[in-house]
Amino acid sequence: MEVGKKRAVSFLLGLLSWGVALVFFFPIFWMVLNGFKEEIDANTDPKLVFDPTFDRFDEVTSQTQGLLGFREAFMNSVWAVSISTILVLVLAVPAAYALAIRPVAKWRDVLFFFISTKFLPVVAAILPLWIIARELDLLNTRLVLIILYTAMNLPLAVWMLRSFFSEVPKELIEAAQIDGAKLRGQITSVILPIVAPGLAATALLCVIFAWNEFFLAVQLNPVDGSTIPIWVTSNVSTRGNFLAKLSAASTLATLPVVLAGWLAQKRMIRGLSMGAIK
Amino acid sequence: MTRTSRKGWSIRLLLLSLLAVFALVAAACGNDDDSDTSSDAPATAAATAAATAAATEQPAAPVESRSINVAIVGNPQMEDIASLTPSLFTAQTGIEVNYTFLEEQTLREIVTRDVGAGGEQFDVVMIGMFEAPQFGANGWLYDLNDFAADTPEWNVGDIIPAVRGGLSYEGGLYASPFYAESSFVMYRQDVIDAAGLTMPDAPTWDELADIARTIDSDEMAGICLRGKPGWGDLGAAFTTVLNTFGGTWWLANADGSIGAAQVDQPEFREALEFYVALINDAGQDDAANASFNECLSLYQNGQVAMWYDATVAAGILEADDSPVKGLNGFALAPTKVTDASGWLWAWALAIPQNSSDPDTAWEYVSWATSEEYINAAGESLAGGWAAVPPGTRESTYANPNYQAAAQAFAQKTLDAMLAAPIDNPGTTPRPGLPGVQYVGVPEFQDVGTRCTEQFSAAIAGSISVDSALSACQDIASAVSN
Repeated sequence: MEVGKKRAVSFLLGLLSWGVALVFFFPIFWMVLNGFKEEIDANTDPKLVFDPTFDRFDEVTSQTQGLLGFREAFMNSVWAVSISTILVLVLAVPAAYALAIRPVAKWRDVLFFFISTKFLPVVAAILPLWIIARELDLLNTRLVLIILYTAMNLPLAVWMLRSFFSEVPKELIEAAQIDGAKLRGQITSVILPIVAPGLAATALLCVIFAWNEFFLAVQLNPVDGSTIPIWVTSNVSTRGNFLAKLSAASTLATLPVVLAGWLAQKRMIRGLSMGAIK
Repeated sequence: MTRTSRKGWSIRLLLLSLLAVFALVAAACGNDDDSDTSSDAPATAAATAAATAAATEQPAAPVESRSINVAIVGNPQMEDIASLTPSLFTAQTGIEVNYTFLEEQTLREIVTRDVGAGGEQFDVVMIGMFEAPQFGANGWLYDLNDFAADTPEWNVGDIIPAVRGGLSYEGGLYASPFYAESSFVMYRQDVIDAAGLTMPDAPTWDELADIARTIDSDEMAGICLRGKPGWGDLGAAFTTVLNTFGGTWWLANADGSIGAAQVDQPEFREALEFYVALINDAGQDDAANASFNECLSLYQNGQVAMWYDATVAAGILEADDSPVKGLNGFALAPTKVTDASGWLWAWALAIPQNSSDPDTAWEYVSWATSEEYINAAGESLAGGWAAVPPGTRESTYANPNYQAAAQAFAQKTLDAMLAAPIDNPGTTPRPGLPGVQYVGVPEFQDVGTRCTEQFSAAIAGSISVDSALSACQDIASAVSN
């Protein structure tokens, strides 16, 4: 009886989580589906059965001289996202180490200061940012987005990594010290294997936030150095149907993030099974 | 010993991190320069200088290297000109045009800031009829009349007078129209015929409402009207109704500034009650979320029999790939107490005062908004003559090719454009600059959007017309002088 009840509960919970997953997944599914439709089909009664076509994908990826094309926007995004993410990790790992494993004086204040930089809504800072960028000749460059995305993701990365770093058992580090391991040895053979899943998760979040960032990109880089989200919105029209085209563009824009998520997930699982404590 | 080695490590780690940061930033910048086109001013200047030098040394080379940045709104006609620019313009003049395509609202924000705060990012900007006279009055734009004297082929006299008037301020023309529209009624002739009804050429709102209520059925709504919040969405359609019902948003003070809010007046109430009731009785489903594109889909899909919206829709309904091609009739915007009520809107190209090269910018503007471009586009576009930018020039409507391709709607569109009451849209003087479906004051964007949020909620039935009106009266009163 007891076992049967447990089974029923876990079955119901399973059903519920599948239901929630479906609710989350359906808009994505519909977007992908719309990308393969003719404009008129996408805009009329919802159809599940239709003649799929790649025309919308051809349309959105076609290159016109003088217009922001998919390839250009993609490369701009790749540069801004990858470099800002690497910078964030390079800066956040030592910071997290100093806050978790060998806490500096007043580390709580430091931690609070990091997160306090996220309190101000970015829209309130956009005009000063824009003026500074204009004065420094940074408007419409990839560099301005790299700097801002690094600054935008750094507090979050420090907080996340700190919590992963503080999970590293002090005894393991001490044991490594007794065995004669120097700082490098401690980091490479003890700390990193344990925090690797955390690093992967942090990197993934930074990639997602930077990849999807629209506001700063469109305000500072409308002419050159425009990223994928700007390219996606350039497919919106106020006079005429655009849903199928926009869906195709959004599908293309989503793919790299899905890929990054998949890669990070593998890394996270491997990291979990590789650590010193299992 | 451990301590020293640790310290050494920390310093090395720090140095390494710094080195990595610099390397990455340098790599990013290096790559940035490779791909950079025109924004990098010194690089462009150097390139231009080099090209000019090369041109001086080799007189045979006719092409100078010049480039301009153009901000433009994402519409089908604008996509067409972008695709034709390399072959029709750059090949002839050597001027490279870098387009920035933006969605309407984003374009407004970016262009307003860039032009107003000296961003110098754009040589040519596309602005609407709402902005052109205001920006002109602020001294942000070049008066195109100054250039026009030397460019007779641009032919300012050919531009439809109402459109020219809407883009002018105190005699100065601050933007050249690329595309213009009024509003009118599109209807399914077959459905009206089947019901044994006739649509007048210039219906009144009462006649139109009667027809809509008669033909409304479960399968096909009587009429599609905008219900989506936004001063340019529901705000545009509703304000034309308000005008012809004798209402207004504000009184005008003697100096033209915003006077007392008039939302609490009986005319305003009558207009809103009429609009909401018509949608409830004979309008489309989910009306509170519908604007141009939603109504277009419903109409093309046979789910509505009539549609009151922009004249440019006619070209889409009569296009070769349209499922309702050949089934449509067109009538002037409905009226109540005024003689005409259609709106007037244009997307137009302007040259900001901070453009780095206004002469080159003018070369582009005078080409893009010329009769020559319209003719070339008619010959080259896949959509043919019916797809050329409408509403700007009388010559377009006199062109036999256009008349043939746009037979179903060309004359009705021209009639609507000519009838649009830009100087006298209602029964009372308006504050600010001329405008039909908006009030020509900067405050209208905010007031119009917030009030139409209330009206949209009334259309959806979540609040009453009374509370929408009283909330809107408060919003509108806040900016009265």
